[in-house]
Amino acid sequence: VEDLKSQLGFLRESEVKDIIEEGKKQAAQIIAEAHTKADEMKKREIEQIRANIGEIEIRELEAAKSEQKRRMMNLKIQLIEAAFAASLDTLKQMVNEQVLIYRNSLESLIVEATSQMTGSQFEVILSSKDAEFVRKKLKRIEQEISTIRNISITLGISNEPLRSIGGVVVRSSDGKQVFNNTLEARLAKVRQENLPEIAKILFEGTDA
Amino acid sequence: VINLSVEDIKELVAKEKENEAELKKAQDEASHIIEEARKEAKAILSDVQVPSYFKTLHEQEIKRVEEKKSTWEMECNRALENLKSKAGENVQKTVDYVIKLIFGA
Repeated sequence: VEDLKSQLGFLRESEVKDIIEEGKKQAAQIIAEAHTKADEMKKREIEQIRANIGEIEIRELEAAKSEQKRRMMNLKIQLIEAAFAASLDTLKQMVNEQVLIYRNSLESLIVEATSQMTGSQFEVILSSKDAEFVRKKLKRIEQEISTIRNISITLGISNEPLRSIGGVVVRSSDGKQVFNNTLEARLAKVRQENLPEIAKILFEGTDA
Repeated sequence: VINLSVEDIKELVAKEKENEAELKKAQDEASHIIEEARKEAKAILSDVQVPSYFKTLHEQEIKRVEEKKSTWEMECNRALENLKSKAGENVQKTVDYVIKLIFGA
């Protein structure tokens, strides 16, 4: 009987040990799986955050680049405006000082205007100071235009004041045609036709 | 063949009952161990989103982007200053060119 009891005791101990071991084994597996799953979740979250951060970087830098382009463009426009303002100041100074290049240009400004108009009788509007100078050359200018146009041309000096810093306005005697060859008009034309070359000179030596 | 007395049989039955109780206790203990492991697993999974860790990572990245942006902006400001300076140097040449075009020289 004692042997039997002893055997039963032994079997019980062995079975109890197995049950506890199996429980521990399952518990360890549950924990290990949780760790693995946690690592995967963490990795996914990090990838997600990195992707988001990458987007932030792209967005932030793109915005900064656009802002920089805008600032660069605005500065270029300002500098071009300043260059044209300086050109206008120089023209005013040339007119006030009646420099030779300006005085000599008056004749060609009148010739250029009348050459592109029809009719034979014109009046020239210019400043009183310029009128004084042109009046002396009027006959010669008439002859020059007559030769170019191959008709007899008559020119007169208008008493109307010139609303400009300088240059001329030529008007047909019937008032139907007007050619604005003032310095402001010429400056605007030069700007319109030559802006890329002008900007190239202004920004020479830069990456712009 | 074993000859067992009634007393022996009673003793053996009592022993068997004791065994069953012990086994039941062992099973309860094993279940308890597994249940605790499940709780721990749940805690591990809920701890995955460590805010400070992600916050730090995010802040570091934001700081890096800001630094990069700041460096880039400084370079751009230098480019703007250079543009202004060069245009200042070239303005007279530009005016001369414009005047030349106006008078057709």
